[in-house]
Amino acid sequence: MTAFRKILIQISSNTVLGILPLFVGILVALAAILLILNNENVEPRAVYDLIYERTLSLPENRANVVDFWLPILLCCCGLLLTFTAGLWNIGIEGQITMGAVGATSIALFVELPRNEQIFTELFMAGAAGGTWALFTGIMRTRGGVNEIFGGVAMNFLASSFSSYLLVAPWSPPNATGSATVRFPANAILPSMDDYRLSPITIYITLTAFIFVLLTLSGSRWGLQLRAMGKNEKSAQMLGVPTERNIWLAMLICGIMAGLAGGHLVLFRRANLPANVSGGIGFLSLLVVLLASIRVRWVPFVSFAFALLYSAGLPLRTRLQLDASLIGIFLGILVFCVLIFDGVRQRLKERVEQRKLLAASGGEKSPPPPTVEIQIGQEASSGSGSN
Amino acid sequence: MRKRYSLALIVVLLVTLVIGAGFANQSKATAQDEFVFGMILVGPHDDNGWSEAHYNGGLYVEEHVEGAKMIWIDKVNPADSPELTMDLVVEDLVSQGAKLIIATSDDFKADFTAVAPNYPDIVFLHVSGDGVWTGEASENMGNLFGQMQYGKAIAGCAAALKTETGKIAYLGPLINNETRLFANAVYLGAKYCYEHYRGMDPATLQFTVNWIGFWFSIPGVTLDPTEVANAFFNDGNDVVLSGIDTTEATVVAGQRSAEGERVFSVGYDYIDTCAEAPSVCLGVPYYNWGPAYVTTVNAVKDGTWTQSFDWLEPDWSDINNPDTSIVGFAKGTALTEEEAAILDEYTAALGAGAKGEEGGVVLFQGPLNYQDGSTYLEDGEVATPEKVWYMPQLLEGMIGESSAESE
Repeated sequence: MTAFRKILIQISSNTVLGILPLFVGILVALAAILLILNNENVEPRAVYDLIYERTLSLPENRANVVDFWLPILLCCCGLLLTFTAGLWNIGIEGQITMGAVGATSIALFVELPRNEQIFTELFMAGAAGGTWALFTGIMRTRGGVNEIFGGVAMNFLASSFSSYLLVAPWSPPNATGSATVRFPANAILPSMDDYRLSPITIYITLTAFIFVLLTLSGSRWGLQLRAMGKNEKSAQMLGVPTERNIWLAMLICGIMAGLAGGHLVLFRRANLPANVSGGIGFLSLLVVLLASIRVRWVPFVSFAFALLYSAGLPLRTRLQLDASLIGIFLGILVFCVLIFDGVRQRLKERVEQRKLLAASGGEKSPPPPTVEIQIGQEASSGSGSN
Repeated sequence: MRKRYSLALIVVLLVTLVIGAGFANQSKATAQDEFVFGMILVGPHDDNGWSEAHYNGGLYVEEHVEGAKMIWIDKVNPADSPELTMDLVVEDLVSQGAKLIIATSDDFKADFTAVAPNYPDIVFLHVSGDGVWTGEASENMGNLFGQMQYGKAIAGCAAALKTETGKIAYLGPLINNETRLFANAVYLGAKYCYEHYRGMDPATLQFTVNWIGFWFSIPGVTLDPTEVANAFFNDGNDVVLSGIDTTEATVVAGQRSAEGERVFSVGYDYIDTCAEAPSVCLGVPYYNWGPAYVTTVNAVKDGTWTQSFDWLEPDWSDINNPDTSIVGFAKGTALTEEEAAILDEYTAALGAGAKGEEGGVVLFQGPLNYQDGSTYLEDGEVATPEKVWYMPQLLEGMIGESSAESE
């Protein structure tokens, strides 16, 4: 072993090298973004200034960011449960769409006193989203259909169903088929007096977050989900009711996604538009991935995403950046961070392997079995769940 | 280690995003003589079609009104910008000092009408809407449109002059009053010219309409206009007229012509559409929004603007005058000189008819029936503007759907 490699291994065992790939990943992403901005003849400084000015500088702008943030965070809360259980709930886009459709079915066709109206709309949103997710869960446990493929199929179905409703039964006369009529005022979620924010959505999101935090950090069910995420078959052999848990995790995730869809149509849009989910579900998947399935980091990462997302409009009107560029920037950032996270894990594994080799006197031996499941500890990424 | 890593990730992400926050510039105050107007486009500003025509109208305003400055946003539609709402877009434009906001799609009608009352000091101009007519529009909102039915009739005439198979087709967007009107106008123009200039029996002219479902292609949502155009040609149509915002009909005709087929197209919306495939392009009925926008901007700037529903005719003295006519027809190079001369003659006749002059051709004059055989106009009856704007069906003799399923 050369002296250089020894030094490398020594350095790689400390935190600096653990974090270094993250910085490199972000630097690479920034470099790529700078190249694109340069190609568009846009000053990077102007972009930064605009993002701050139009998202964080004024209370009403901050309120807009929060309005973007809430449905993303709500979806992330649901995904934390399914990811922890080792379930890739790709079908979340469809669950958002069906939640929106469920809420619209009440908003357009049922007239109740204000409170009952709002409750019924949200109930239908959650029920529709939850049912849609439950189908995927049942297909997984009873039909042997992987939840990824099931989710993709359910996304397609939800999108097609929503499109059909818009061009046929729910289309306003002489309309383009891109949205329903606007909902009556009675059907729209109440807003704060000074800012365009829905207190009901804030309460729902807060409740969802606290529920997921408590579930995954201190409950028996959370422990079961983590065990399933590590190894579903082993968990089953140890007595964990995996089928019930898969259904339950999917159902709760679907309810949260459905409520997010309900917020989109009952507050942000006041009608059901085509493509109502608009990629929020996929964005939430990326957030949970980037936060490494850690509950407490999800609000921050999702807020950062919401901030960038809501900066898209001023960047378009003031700097004439193309509509697709914000999505590309987010994609580059996520891609680079994940790639370099992979590099970091690889380095870490190598270092640990060498340490083991050194400890066993150069003989190769399998690593000792470890029991990582402990109550009170959050799920570790790098597990079977991701 | 893992936790430290995650913490670092969050911190770096956030720091990266708000870096430079301390250096943020405040909104630049608009200069005193500057007049800012906002424009909301449904498609790309460089689509060689509907949205580019509006964008160019905005540039025309900047050129002809001192101090005028356009701020614009394009691709405001559920496919390209699902995160945007009309509230957010208007709020952003107003925050940049816009005193007039122009929304350029029928698709914006409901949301634009709902937002306008929240900004009583800003003038909202909805292009292609009828909110002022129906009473839905608030006092600070006006409507503007061009009488494109005349441009469409000329387009239909060009197709009828060129067809050898006697089969022409119309690539329609979605189905509503506006699009039915234009498809009907194309048909009437084609029928007239087939009979009067070609000497053919108009009953033998086959005119087919197919609707893609939106103003432009949205994969997975609409029919693919390229496929629809190809299907038209496969069915023996030798001229396809476009009614959508983009140029697929002309592009497909160009491709098939390059393979040796005798096919032609007529574009829509944008004056330079024929540049996509000049050899097959019979022409394009186009919008020229600049002069009308200048009138509105000057009125708002001077404080003389009042609510109105402006459905403007072409300037019949010269429909291609860039400073006076809202609707024009740019003849394509695929027309022979003789055909071009006939087209001029028909255009003049339409103008005379519109002005009520003797010997003119009145486009919507009875007897005319709807597709189901019911009467649209009695013999000799001339349609009122309302009867022209609100047509519930295609006309008798046309092949294609008159309405979406729900209607």
